[in-house]
Amino acid sequence: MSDQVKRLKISELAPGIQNVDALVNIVSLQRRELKNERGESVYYYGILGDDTGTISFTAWTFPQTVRIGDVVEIRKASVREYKGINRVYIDAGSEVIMHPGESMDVKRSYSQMKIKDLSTAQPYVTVEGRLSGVRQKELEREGKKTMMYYGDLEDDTGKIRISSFEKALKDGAFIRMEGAKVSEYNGRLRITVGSRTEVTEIKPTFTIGERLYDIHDINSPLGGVKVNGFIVSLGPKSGLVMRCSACNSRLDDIHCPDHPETSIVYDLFAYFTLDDGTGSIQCTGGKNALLGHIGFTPEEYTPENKTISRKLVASRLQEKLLGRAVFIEGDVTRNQSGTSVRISMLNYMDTDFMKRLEARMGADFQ
Amino acid sequence: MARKREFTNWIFGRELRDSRELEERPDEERAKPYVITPLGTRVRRVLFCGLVSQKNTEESMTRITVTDGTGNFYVSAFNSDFGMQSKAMADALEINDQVMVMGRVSTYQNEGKTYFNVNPEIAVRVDSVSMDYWRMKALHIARRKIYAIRMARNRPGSTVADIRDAGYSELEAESALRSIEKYPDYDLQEFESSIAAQIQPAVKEEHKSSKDFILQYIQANDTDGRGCRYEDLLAASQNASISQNELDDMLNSLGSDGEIFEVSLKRYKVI
Repeated sequence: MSDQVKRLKISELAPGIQNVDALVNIVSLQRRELKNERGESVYYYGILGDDTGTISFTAWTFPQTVRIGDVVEIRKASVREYKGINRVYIDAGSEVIMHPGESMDVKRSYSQMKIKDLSTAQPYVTVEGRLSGVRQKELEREGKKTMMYYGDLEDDTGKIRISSFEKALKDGAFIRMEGAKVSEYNGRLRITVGSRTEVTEIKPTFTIGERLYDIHDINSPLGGVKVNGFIVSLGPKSGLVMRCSACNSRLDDIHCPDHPETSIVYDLFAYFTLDDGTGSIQCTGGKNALLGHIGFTPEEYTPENKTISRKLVASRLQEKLLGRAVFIEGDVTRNQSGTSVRISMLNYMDTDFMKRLEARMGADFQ
Repeated sequence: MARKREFTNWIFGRELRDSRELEERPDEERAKPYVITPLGTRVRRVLFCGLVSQKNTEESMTRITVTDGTGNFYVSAFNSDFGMQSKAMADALEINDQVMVMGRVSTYQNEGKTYFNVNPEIAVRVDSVSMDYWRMKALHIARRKIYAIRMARNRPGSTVADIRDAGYSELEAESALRSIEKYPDYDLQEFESSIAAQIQPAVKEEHKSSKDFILQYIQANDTDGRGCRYEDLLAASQNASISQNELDDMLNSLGSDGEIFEVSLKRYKVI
């Protein structure tokens, strides 16, 4: 085999190719720390681009001086398919050579994805969904007033927060976005409509219904999911929470240090582990999702009601949650302590839900 | 680094009862061994629902037997520093209660036989809907494992990746290969039939419990005064989705509790 290596364009990169040499633009770049039984390590991932297209990459070694927008030459890399996406792998045997001062036009190509498959590893995508809860506010950017629209985008697999600068979002509309950007903020995925994103209104090709998930299948911070199982542990600090009615701060005492004259309000917080036989997940819930289950209305759940105590609330949570079969709906978040669901609704198991679950499980064997 | 939570296996009593293999983990010297079940499930923590069929309370320990219709789980809650709450939970249960138990499996061997005991972390009363929910999901989980094992048996040399590519999870694929290695001749068909019978609550609801059914049948079918015949009882039990193993367990338990006695070989009378 000849020592001379042919430089390839991104459109020519196919799974199985070894010894890849390509001149590329760094379209996106992220660093992630990995902790497992073998210790800690760091890897980089992102998108490479040139005038023929874009491709994802993973690098186990990467120069720390490289920034987004830089042009680099990559040598001795390989291409493999991972989860249906072609990806360039850069390892210890590869070279990354900077080409300072050079620029390169990138032909954007976006994979069409369902919301459940979105990840920051593929930050530019085409996605379709229905807009809901759209609000707008005026912001000042670079001395200019601009309108920001924000809300949720949902399809048949999940829900994600969406924001758009200048391009208006219409509540309830089904839209297709080409070149929208996926990012992660506060443990939740979100999608942003940028100046180069094309937004078109479409006729829906999917139905938005119940998004039932096995806990095992929850791999990303996805919104609007429904899971079921037994509550197998209840956090010891679950219970009544006091807040300042002025600043909403959580209080240990009945007086807020910043607003001592202001009244307090009762809130509720519970955290528990839900197990469905395929795995377990931490859940957190507040007053909206749980108050009814411990037998109080919002009007009754006040400091004026002297029958309510921390002990009573804790024991009711224990009685009404621990060991119960439930189905919950909420948003998955991911942070340093792991993945959890912030629940918006909790219901005890019922036969109607079981019928829907049975139908879904039955599909496994068809 | 946060310790990974031990996986909780939703399994039927029959799967645990048929287990013969243990796996010691050299990296976890002080931990209990894993039980490897015929479906290849690696078990240290279980979650199950069933009916309390026996209870024995002492100051230091409460033992309960929970039957899920396919077999018995023997549950022991100790009055230790760590177990006080679980003993209180077990103490609160009564015979014939429908319960959900999650706990750790401990094993002991005697005369070459392996016995299993569950130390509960939770033991609570549940309603019929929760029982049916657990049965439905446990059956689904078992069936997926059975289908993965069948696929791997039909394609010798299958790897985890091959089974995963067919739509199974990594855990299911690993279980399938373990099952083939440890229990190559296990009768999956018979096992599946025995657990599938549990998903017919309409049949079982006619009787408050298997125990009541068996007692009533023995009483009503002592036709010649020499006691109810085992063969007749077995046929009736199977029609009511009570397996032979469950019937045998129940006859032993009713005998020890002094509720029935064996008049002559395989003939029973209610006391």
